[in-house]
Amino acid sequence: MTGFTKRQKLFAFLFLHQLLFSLPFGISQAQVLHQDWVQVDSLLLTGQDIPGLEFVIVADSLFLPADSTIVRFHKDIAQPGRWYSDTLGSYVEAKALEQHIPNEMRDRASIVYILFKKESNPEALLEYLDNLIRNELFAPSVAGDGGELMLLANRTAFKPFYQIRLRILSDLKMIVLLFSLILFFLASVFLVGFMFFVRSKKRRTEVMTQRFKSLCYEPLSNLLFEYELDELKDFSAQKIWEFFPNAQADNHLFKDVMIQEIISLNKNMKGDFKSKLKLIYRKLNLVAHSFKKLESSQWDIVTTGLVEINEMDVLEAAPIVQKFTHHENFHIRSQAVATYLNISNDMTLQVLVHQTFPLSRWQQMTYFRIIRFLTNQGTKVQVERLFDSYNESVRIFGYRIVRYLGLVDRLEILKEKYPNASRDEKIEILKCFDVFSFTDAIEHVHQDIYTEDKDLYVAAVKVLQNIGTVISQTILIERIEHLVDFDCLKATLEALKAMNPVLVEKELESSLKEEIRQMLAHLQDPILCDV
Amino acid sequence: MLTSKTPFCAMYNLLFDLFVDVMGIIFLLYSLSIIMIYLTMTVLSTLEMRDHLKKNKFADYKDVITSPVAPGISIIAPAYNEGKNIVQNTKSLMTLHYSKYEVIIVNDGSKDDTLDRMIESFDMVKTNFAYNHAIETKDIRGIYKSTNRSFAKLTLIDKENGGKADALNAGINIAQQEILACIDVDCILSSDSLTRMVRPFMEEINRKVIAVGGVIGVANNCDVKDGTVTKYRVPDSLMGRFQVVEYLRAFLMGRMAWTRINGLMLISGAFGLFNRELVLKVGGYFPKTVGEDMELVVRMRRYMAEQKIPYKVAFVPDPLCWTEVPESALILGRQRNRWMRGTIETLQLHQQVRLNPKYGVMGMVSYPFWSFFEKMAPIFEFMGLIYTIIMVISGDISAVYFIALFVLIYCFSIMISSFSILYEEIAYNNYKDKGDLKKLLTTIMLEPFLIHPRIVWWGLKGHYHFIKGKGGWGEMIRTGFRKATDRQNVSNA
Repeated sequence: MTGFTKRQKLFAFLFLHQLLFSLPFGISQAQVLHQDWVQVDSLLLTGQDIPGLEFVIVADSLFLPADSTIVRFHKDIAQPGRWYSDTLGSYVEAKALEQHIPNEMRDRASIVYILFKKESNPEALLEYLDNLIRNELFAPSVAGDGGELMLLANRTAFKPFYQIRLRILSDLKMIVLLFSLILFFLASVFLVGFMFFVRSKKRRTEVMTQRFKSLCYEPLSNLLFEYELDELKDFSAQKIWEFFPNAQADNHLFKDVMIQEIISLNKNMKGDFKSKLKLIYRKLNLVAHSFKKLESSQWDIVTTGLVEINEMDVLEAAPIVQKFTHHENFHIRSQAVATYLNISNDMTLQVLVHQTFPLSRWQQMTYFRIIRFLTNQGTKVQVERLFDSYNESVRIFGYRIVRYLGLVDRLEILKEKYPNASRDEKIEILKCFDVFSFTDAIEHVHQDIYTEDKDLYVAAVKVLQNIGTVISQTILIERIEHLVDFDCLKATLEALKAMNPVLVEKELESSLKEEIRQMLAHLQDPILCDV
Repeated sequence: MLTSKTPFCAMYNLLFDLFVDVMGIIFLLYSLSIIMIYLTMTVLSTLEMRDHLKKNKFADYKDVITSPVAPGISIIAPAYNEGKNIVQNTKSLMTLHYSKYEVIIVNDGSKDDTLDRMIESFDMVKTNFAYNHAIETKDIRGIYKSTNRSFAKLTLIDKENGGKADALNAGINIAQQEILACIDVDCILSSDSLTRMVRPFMEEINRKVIAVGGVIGVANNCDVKDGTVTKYRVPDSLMGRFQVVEYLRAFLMGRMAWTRINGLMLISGAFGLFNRELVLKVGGYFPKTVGEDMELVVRMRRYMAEQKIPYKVAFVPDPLCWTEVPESALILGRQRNRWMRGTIETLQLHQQVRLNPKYGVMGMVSYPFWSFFEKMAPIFEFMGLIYTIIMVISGDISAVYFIALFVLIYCFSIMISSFSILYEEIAYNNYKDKGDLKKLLTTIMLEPFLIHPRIVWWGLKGHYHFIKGKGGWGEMIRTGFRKATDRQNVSNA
């Protein structure tokens, strides 16, 4: 219904719009008629038949005898001395008849306009004609002899009434169309030009990259496999550059390609080869090239610089990298934190503790990989520092690391943190208790078993499945009566079944609840238990 | 003497002239709007694609495969009479590169041997699987699991036939993981499809990602090895090639642009990821519409807007999923008819959204766009044709105007299509063969004359069938949902 009204409004708008455009033309014609009655007179003299318009000549004579007669005139019985003619269809005829009136009456004679059988004044006649012309019900023809007019026209140079320029400018549709065409043309030229520019640039870069790769590959292989690390240490930068095409030494793309090749080899190699690659990177002063990228205004270039610093373990870059760890750009920030974790040797994880932005899962995945790497290297990372962060997502990440890295010794701290933790933190801590079957936390778990929060309840029940006591069983049996949520009920039955299958059989086998019977059947199904 | 008929004739002439002028302006404005919108979309999609390609440079997707931080995914694939390919397709799904995922195949009352083949090939047995009837569905006859531990992540649901949406709902009820991947079982998924598609869920920090859509590629005539397209070739038929161009246009340009302004309203039913918790909250797929994929996204968006929770519908433009498109006019016609009905039904169901600022970009931009330029497009085009014929008959047509408009629209259509191909070439460059490019360019030239009129016709048929109630829509669709959660009150029976 609303749509219909809107459509009506649209039509109304367009209708008014159309009227506004057509009105000035009509008004101008009417004004011409008003301004010059003579033109109307000459229009009537053309003898054209105007629908509904007739004429009567009325003449007053005070001097003529009462018994006198005038040809084609009648006496008005009601008004002595007044004469009137027959009703005439043509103005020309009326004018001709006017000539037959005796001279002494002529000054007091006038043509009366009869519109649709009613006497009308000249203003009404003008308005009537105006309407007829505006609505194209009457088209005045040019008076005079056609032949003469043609002759006159031949003498005059042709000037079109509507010039094409005016016509285009007064036609809204044409304006819109022209505008569209111009817009389309400009946009298409720009877009296609832009795309071809990007395409050719990309292609050129690809070709050059391939070429540079082939130029880098052999020298790098030679340096790696033909020289020992100590030998390479003794090489000057110039000596190493001699292995590579000299002409490209200042080419940024060549340096980029070379860094990428070094990083790629570094990822796939071990031991001395890694050290050799890092040494080559430094000797060739590619580190300066990476640093320069950090000054860029484009986030992807800055991030590339950070990646290079990270991969090549440029430890001295730590203070510069730290500046980017609170950058508002997600990618710069993520990479900066990852790089800083890797190169700073900050085992207290302060860069994470002081993060103000929430950590996304993607970031957690990256940081976890680095922390795991550091832990595997034998570094003692102080994960517990993360528990004191003001940022909830950082604290949660800390609890996750405890679980993922099997940091059992941090469970006591988690137990202390638990009572004051937020809902999401509690769920993470409960998962830790569950994974390590941390029986010391059972009191905390019992406290939260009465929660209304579904996820927290399920997490707590899962812990009890591992560490639950007889008291836990009693609580859960009691809770079953009040549980309505499917997942909560299933988790509870699963926990009870794991803790005390006999109790479940005794208490619930005879349950009338279809849902409970289904769940018990599920829990007893050997295939489902197995998978 | 003036006759009594003349003023009426003149009045009709006046009205006719008015009608002609008004319609002319409407068509012109409509065409101009399309041009403006598509140009804007081109710019938006370019920016989005640029950002995506930049982001991809720094993403290590291998990490996602094994990371404990990555969310679990339940892949749900409804199958109806897929006996021929079901085993191969399921095996392909079982070998995706991701650690935490399950595969749920829903046999939607197939009349062929789909169920038997699955049972036989994967050593499956019926179990007492207890599940939550959170969403009403047709009766489930059995839930099967494999006795072979290698297939532990596979679940087979056998149920009464209820249509794709109903089958997906059955899968959703059983799904255990945080993210749902709803796919067509005959789709070919790239091995790294899950790692790439899950990224937006993992990356966003300020808004909740409720769904992620993926690009669907045309697999006709391509070489497929181990579930991945190894050699791209354009289809032999014009109809097939047209769909290649159309898919590139829709996915690489349209959806990328909508993603840029967070206005994406449609995620292809062939491959989309959804937040399970939210899907359950809004009541799952709506089985009474043929446009269930679009309808679900709109309902999820509505829910988030009504709850005033910041959200995002993301899109991953990497080529990760391929499907065989219909090359016969009959089947394509049915598909387009169905798509049109789906669009109309969805828009009808969610009228509350129209121009409602409460729904943000969806209410103020996406919904009006879909109403005016997707749903109404066939009607406008058909009216334009009628208008032109009337003009020709009455002799009122301006040849210059007509030809200019025609050339404008034709060139514009070619430009947009060429642009999408160029786009593909810059971003992925899958169609490397020059012969393929030539074929695609020829298709672009011919499309407005040979294919587009048929698409319009099928769209009109979709409108007609919607009005006639073909396809089983009820009074409810006319009324629409007052709230996103109203779907839960609608019985599936």
